[in-house]
Amino acid sequence: MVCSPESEMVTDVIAILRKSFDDYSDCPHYAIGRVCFADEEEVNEANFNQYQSIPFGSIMFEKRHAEQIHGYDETLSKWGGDDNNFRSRLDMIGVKELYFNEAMMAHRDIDNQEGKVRRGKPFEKTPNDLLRHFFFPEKAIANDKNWGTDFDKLVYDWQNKPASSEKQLKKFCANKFTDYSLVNHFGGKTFPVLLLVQSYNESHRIGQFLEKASHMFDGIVLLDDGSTDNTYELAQCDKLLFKCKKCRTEFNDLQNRNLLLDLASFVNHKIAFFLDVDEMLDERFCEVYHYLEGDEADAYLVPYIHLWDTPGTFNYQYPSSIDGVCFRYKMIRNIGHAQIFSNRGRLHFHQAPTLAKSAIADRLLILHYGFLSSEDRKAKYEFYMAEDTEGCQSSYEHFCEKATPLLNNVAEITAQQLHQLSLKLISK
Amino acid sequence: MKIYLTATCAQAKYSILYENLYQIFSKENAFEIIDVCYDADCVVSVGDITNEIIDCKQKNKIAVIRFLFRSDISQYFYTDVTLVDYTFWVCDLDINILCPYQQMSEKIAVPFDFTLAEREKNDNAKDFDIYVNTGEFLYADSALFKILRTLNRLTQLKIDVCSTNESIKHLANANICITDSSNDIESHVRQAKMVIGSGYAVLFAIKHHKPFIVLGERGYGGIPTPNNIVQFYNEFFQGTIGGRLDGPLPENLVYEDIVNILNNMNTIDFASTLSGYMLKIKNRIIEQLNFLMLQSQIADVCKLRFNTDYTILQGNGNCWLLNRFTHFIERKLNPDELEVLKGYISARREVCTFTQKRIEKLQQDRILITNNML
Repeated sequence: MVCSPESEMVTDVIAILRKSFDDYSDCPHYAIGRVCFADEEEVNEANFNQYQSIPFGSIMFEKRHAEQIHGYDETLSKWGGDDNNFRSRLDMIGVKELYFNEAMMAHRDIDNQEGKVRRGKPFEKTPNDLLRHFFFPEKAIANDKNWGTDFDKLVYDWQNKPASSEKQLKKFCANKFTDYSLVNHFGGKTFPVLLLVQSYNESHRIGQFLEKASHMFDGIVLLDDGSTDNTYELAQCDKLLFKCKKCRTEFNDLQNRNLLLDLASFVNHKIAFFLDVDEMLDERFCEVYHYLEGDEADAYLVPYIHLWDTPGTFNYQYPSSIDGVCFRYKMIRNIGHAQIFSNRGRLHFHQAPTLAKSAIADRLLILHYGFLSSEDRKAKYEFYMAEDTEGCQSSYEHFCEKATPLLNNVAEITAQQLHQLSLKLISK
Repeated sequence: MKIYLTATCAQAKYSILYENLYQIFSKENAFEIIDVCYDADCVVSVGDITNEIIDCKQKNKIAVIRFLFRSDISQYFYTDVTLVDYTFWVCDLDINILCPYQQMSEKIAVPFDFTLAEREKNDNAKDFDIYVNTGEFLYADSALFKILRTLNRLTQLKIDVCSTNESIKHLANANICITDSSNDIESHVRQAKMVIGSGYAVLFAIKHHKPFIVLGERGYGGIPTPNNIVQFYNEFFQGTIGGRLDGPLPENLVYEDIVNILNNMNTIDFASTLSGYMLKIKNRIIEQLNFLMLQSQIADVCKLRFNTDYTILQGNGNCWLLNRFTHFIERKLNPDELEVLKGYISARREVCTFTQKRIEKLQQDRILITNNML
């Protein structure tokens, strides 16, 4: 749809005109509304007819029709007439005008004396040759045969970043982090499945975590949230591409994950997967590569269980779960640089960007080791009670020391069960 | 092949169409134009079919083809498809009424023969400076009224205007002569130096190499160029290409065009530019004629298909044949017919095993049609 920037929509012009393309799909057409001219006064549906109005003001057309006539005539360099010329040329190819009285726009001429004069007598002083050009063009197809190719030259392909992306990363890191290290050259290469990890004082887990993860992912990017132990130094494995250490002022999970997404944007990848150091994919359910092909979904909810007391049992009664299985946004397809937006504070939010096309990755299962022992749970409980100054979550009692939920065996979770659960969630 | 070509409508536009089709067919060696309907292999009716043609069709089962103008479609909306094998809708004023017999008709640009006869080549008689024939009938004289003020300003020119509207005479200057020349457009074109108008007036202007300005039922078209002449032709020079009925007609542009033409009477040879396009129209007509004549002789049941202008509906315990566009019930289908049609609709192989007689009847009724009809 095209309209002038001074215009204000009095009715839902976009919806009205757009509907015509469903209602009259068999009839090649462009849809127009009408426009009235006003200053600063309020214009609404009820008083619209009191103003001087003319057809047009907005036009909606199909891209294929605009391409057929080579778009707007680029020889027109001054204001006005371009829309008349465009409509005339659409008429010439048999794409007909459909007028919608109820599609109302108000054109504001605030502090525009010239516009106020012109609105009464449009084209009064227009020379004949321009009138012919505007209203009676010789040919339907404007511009030259090379029209539409101006932007064909590809200067930078974000999906195939060149080797120089390493240099860009270094520049980015130099401004953001207290320390950073390029472990493996990644520039110009592609890492189909990229793991994004954040860590904080995880020296006891980091080595084992990276060792396990290196069997499941093509590349790993690590962000250390200012560990006071030697987590950052211990973080080493052959799949680690680079690691960065930031200055910690508070625990800001949202900021950390968005920083990881920023870092991921320097690496060629197809899928990005978030895991914390106390999480790991169950070896029975770790087919991340299954989701590489196809584009039916861009963001994935991944089944997630909280291991409890032993690595073989999980909390069967975890809040907001189905029989203990939670679903967390953990995996996204790389459709360009993305960020997580949250209105739920810095601690609890969807852990990956929730893109328009979402699905459940029922071939995966994440095991959360963070609540494994009562000491772990106590530490987490105290941590969140201290950090959650904004009241992001109403209660943390479900993992306090007193919590004694029913447990179930991890081994009893089957692929069929995960599939059934995902269906259950979708049907809900 | 013998063709009985006949004009069955007295209107001038049908007479002109007949003349042009006669020229086209007479130049085809394979065709012989005859005067007796009953001896023909094919009847071509310029206008609707007559009782003589119906009688001939019923007795001899020959192919019958009609040429009708699109502007007359409402008059011929219903067609007995058992009597007319094919209709060419000639696009004069292409008004937006759907023909409900899509499988047995098509739209075609006006066939026209631009060849000048020897006697016409040295034609210097120019009694008028401008011949004006806007040829409107939906918005009678609307375009003419819009340019009348401009014509009145041209007091130094002799202007021949075609109109049946007597009241215009009271609004026109003495240099403007208003007569109804719709039955004699060509001779009026020949007598003028330039032409302003639409439809056949423009086609005759091209034929006689006169400069012209297009304006008519669809407003202002201006002076065509080789870049857009085919598009103008497709729309029968009715005004703006793709324009709406009673479209805008700025008189300052018409005045400028007239002055430009009077200052430079050189004309573009549009007849040559259009020759390729004319050949396409001619070939399409001849191709369809040949196909229909062949089809009337050979009925290959395996090449038949269900006519998709129709649909079958069940109701009150019976099956009914409906026209998809009008939703009129054509007739009730008996179980035998239904069985045959089901075979064709589902494209089962056993369609050929039905009795020839049953299938022939369905073909005669145009419920089954030959596969490559279009």
